[in-house]
Amino acid sequence: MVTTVGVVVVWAAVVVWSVLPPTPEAYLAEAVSAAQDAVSATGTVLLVGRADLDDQLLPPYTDTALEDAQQAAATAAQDLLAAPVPDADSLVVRLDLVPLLVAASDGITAVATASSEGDRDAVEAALAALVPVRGELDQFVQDNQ
Amino acid sequence: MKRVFAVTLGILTAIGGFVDIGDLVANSETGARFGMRLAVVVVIGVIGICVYAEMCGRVAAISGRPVFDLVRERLGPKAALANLTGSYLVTLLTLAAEIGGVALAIQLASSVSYLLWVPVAAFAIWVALWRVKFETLERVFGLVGLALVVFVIALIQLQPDWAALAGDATQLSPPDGEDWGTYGFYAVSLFAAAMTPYEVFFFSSGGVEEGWTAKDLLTSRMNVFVGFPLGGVLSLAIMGCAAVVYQPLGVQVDTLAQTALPVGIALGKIGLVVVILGFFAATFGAALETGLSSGYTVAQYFGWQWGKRVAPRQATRFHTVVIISVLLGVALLLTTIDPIQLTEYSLVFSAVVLPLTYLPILVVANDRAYLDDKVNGPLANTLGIIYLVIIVVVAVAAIPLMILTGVGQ
Repeated sequence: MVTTVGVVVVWAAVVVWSVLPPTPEAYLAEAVSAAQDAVSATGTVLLVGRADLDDQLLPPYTDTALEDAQQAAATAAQDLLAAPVPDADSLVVRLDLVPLLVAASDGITAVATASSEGDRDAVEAALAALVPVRGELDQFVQDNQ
Repeated sequence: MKRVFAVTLGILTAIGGFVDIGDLVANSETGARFGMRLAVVVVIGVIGICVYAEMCGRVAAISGRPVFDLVRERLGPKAALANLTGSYLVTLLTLAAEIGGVALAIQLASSVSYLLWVPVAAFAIWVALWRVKFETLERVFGLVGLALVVFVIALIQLQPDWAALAGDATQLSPPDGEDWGTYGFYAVSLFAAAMTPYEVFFFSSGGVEEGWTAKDLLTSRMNVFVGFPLGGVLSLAIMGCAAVVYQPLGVQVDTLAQTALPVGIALGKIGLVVVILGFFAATFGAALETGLSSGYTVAQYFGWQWGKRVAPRQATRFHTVVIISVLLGVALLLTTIDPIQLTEYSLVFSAVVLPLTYLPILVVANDRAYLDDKVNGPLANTLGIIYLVIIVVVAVAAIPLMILTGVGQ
């Protein structure tokens, strides 16, 4: 009986906790998490892209690695776009970060497209364009961690 | 000479078979986020699995029965049922993760979505479990799994600052930007990856499948005390590669492609081919082991005929459990759950059920009715009890850490 009551109380607590509206702190944590995911995706793409230009990777592997990164960056942007904004400060965070997440996603797609077409110059240009975006995302993470 | 060859082959198989999807994921993730600061957990986990696998090997060799065949007899049906339920569910999750790992490895070589490979991989696994001899299964995938030695070569080729890596390994705290919660969560995952329950089911039942007797104690101990630690070196090399390539860039690892990338950067296309082959062998071999382990646990609890030493026709219920487990694994993967996330969850739940797996081993390994004068000595018991305490702490901490950190986010 005591065990059953305990399980029900814990279950109720988890349910209540999961449906509470997000606090500004929780929103910022979600934003940092999205930015970190984008930093990881762009960092991976820079490594993969450069190794591919040096002819160190196999085409199926490169395609898979870039596709994974595309998906990770897009998911990070989608997650933040879908998150309810609790206050005005959080809205500022959203307005700062969403364009960077979209730019990261676009940049990764540009690298993937150029790579699949075998256009080395376009890959180099897309990688170069991705570096500052990654820098800004990294800065966001450092500033808010 | 034949004896030396058999022991060497066993050791090589143990090294190659040590790493599975859990080790690949957990070591790569922690290396990228924490550098070598959690290397000590791998060492602790490897010592732990050595302590308990030695007990299992000894029980199998002396009694001619696997440990879990004895658990119900020794502890009664209720305690054994708790053991069976927890262990089977975690082994099932691990099986699904391994099948996902096989499919992901094929995706790296083909660029075709892993979801399309899941049924193909599962069918190949089932055919191997049905048709291929036990020794062949164990040897082939264990030996091909040695391809993962490429991580050691890649780490050397990356020319890291060895003193810095060693210094990092002595830091028992999270680096800047990480908190104690995530540090603890990944410590739990790494420990569970090293001590995954199916490893002892398989080692124990495998000893019986191979017909071990008291004469094979040396082979069993060499496999455990030489093969497993060298397998642990592969785990540390995977962690080291991720630490060198990813940590300076602040990149977190979430995919198998990322785990392979340091090898590609260090060794080029040939290295990449070898590492993908290693991924395939490690996950396929582990899928076979978890598939068999799911059958072993259920069949041994109910007292059914089990194993591959008898024809499938004579162990129909055992093979039915195996095929149902493979199908359940496929069904889970076809929900489109990410196999890497599934692996992370399987490690957490492995941690939770560790006491249910390891306490009975300690009890049986002290029972003179089964082992006569080969029961645990003072050293085995001291280490066994120390590890049991660690296991209980890890089991209690696993779920709260998972919730508090959002699965290590």
